[in-house]
Amino acid sequence: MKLGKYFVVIAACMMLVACAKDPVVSYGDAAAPETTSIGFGSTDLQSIAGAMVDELVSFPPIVSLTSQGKRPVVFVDKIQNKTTEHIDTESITDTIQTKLLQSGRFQFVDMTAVKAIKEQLVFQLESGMVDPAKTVAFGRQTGAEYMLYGNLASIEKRNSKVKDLYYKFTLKMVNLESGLMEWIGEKEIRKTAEKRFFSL
Amino acid sequence: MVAIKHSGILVLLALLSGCAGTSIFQPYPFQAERYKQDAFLTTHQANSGAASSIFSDDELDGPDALLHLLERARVLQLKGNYQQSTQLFAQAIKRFEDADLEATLRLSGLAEQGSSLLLNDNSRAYRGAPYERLFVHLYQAMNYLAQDNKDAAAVEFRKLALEQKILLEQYEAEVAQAESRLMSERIDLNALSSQLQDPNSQLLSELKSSLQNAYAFYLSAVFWEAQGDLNRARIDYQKVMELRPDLSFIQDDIARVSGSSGPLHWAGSESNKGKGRVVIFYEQGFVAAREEARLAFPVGEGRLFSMALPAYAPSHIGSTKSLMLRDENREPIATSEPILNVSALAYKHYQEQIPMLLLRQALRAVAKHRLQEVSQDKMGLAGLFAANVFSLLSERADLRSWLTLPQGVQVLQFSLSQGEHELELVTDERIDPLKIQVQSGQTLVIRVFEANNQIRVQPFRL
Repeated sequence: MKLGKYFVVIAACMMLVACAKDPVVSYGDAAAPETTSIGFGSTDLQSIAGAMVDELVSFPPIVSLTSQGKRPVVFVDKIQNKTTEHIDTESITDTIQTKLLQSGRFQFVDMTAVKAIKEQLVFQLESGMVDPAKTVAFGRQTGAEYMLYGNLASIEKRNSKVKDLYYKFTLKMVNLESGLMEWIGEKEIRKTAEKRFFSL
Repeated sequence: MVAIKHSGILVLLALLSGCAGTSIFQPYPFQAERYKQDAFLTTHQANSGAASSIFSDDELDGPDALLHLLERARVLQLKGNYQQSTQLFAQAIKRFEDADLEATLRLSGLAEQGSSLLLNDNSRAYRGAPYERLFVHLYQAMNYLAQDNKDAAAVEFRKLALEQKILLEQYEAEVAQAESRLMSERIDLNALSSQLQDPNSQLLSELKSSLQNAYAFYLSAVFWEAQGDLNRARIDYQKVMELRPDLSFIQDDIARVSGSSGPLHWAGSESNKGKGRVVIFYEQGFVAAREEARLAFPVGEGRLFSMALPAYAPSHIGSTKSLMLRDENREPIATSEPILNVSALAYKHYQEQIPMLLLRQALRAVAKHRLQEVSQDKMGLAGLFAANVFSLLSERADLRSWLTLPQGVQVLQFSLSQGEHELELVTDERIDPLKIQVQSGQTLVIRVFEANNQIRVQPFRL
C-alpha cells in the first residue's frame, strides 16, 4: 500500500510538470555577447562591423578625403564567404553600410536596388500612367567613385577535446577611376569550444 | 519478491523506453529495404500509394533518428526533390556537429547505456560513422549545385575538405607507420612510375582509400577548377592521385592545373577550345549491410548464454562494373574507371568498432546472467525460463549503417563540342540513352545511379 501511495504522489507530480510545457521567452540585449554555439553569431557580426567602420573613418587619407563636407560616393560589392559555414554576408555589408552612412561622411549607391529602380523608372516613363510633369528623369543617377568589397575566411580545427574557429574579415576600398586601393582593414576573431567532461 | 519487482520493473522500463518502431527488435537492414525501393519510384507511383507512408515522424525521435534522416535525404535527392533533401541533410549535419562537442560523460546517456546492457546495442542512439559524414557533405554540395547555389556548394566543399583532413588525423598513427615503411624501402622518391608498382605504396593508397573518399576529392577538384580556383583544384587532384594512382586521367589533370607555364583551366588548353567538359560519376548498387552472427549455448544449471554480433559477409567488398559511353554513331567515347569502394570504407569503420562491441557484449552477458540467476532464485523454474527466453529474444546485433549509399563509384570524363548530344550509356546489362546540353567552357557533372536493375540520371551544372 505504501508503494501505491508513493506511486500516486509521483504520478501527480509528473502531471503537474507536464502542464508547464511552453518554453520561457524573454527579450534580451541585442548587443550582449552571445555564446550559444561556436558558429558565426550576432556578436561576431557586430564586432566586425564596428571595428571596420572605426578603422575606415579614422584612416588619415580617408579623413582628408571626407573633410570639408565632401562625401564620396561608394558602392558595396559582395563580401565573399570563404568559410565552412553558411553565413549571410549581406547582413555584414548592410551593418557596415548603415554605420558609414550614419557617420555622415559617405554617400552610397545601392546596387541591390538597381533592378527595382529600373522597373519603377520604366513604369513612370513608359507605362503612360504617370503625369510627365511629375516623373523622375531617366539617366540622371550618380555614379559611384569608390567600391567596398572583401572576404570572410575561416580556419577551423577540431580534435577530440577542443574545437577552434578563427575568422578573418578583410574589407577593401578601391578607387574606381584610378584603380588604387585607398584603404584595407582586417578583423580577426577566435572562438574556442571545449568539451565538458560531465554534463546532464 | 522485492528483487523480482526490481528486476521486473527494470526490464519493463527498458522495454517501454525503446519500443516504437526502432531496430531493437527488428533488424535495420530489413527496415531499410523500403528506402531502397522508394529511391526508384517516380512521384506518380509514390503518390498512388505504393509507398506513400514510408516516412513516419516517430522514427525521428528514436535512437535511429540520424539514420532515418540520412536515408530520407538520400532518397529525396535521388528523386530530384533537392530542397527537402537539403533541409534533411542540414538537420543531419547539425546532429553531427552537436555530437562533436557533447560532454564525455552524460547523465542522460546513462539511461541509454543501461537499457543497452539489458537489451541490445540497438537501443543506443546511432551516432553516424565518419565516412557517412563525408557523404553527407558531398551530397549536400550536390543539392546546392542542383539549386544553382554555387556559394553554398563551395561552403560544403570546404567543410568536406576539413572533415577529410580530420579523419586522416584521427588515424595518424596508422598512416604514419605505413608511410615510414614506404619511405624506408623506396629508393627513388620522385618517380611517379615506381609509385604504381611498389607494393608498399599500394598498401598506403589502400589504407588511405579505406578512410578518405576519393569521389568527394574528385568532385571537389572539378568544382574548384570550374570556379577558377586552380590551386585548390590541384590540391584535390593530388589527393585523388594519392588514393587512386591507377586512374588514367589523373596525371593529366594534375599536369594541366599545375602547368609549367602557369596553371591552366580546362577550357584554356588548345584541344578544348569551344568544347565543354563532362564528368560522369557512376554510382552502383547499395553498400553491403552487416549480417548477424548468433551464438547460443547452455552454461550449466539450465541457464542460457546467447550472443549476437554484427559481421560483414566475406563477399562484402564486391567489385564495380564499368560504364562505357557511346556517341550518336555508336562509337565509344570513354570508359569509366573505379574511384571509390564504399563497402571498404564501411568495413574499416566496422573494424574500428569491434573492440568496444566485444566489451559491451561481455558486459551484457554478465547482466543477463545475473538476471537469470535472480529470476531462478526468486521464482524457480518458471522465472528461469522467462529470463532465458528474454535473453534469447533480446539479443540482436547492431546492424545499423547508412544503407542507401552506393556500393562503389566509377568515374569517366571527356570533352564534347558545344550543343546538344544524344549519347548512350552502356553497361554489361543495359543500354540507356543520355541526352545532354553542352556549353562551351562549362563543366557538366552527371551522376548516374544504378541499383536493382534500375537507373537514375541527374545532371549538375558547375
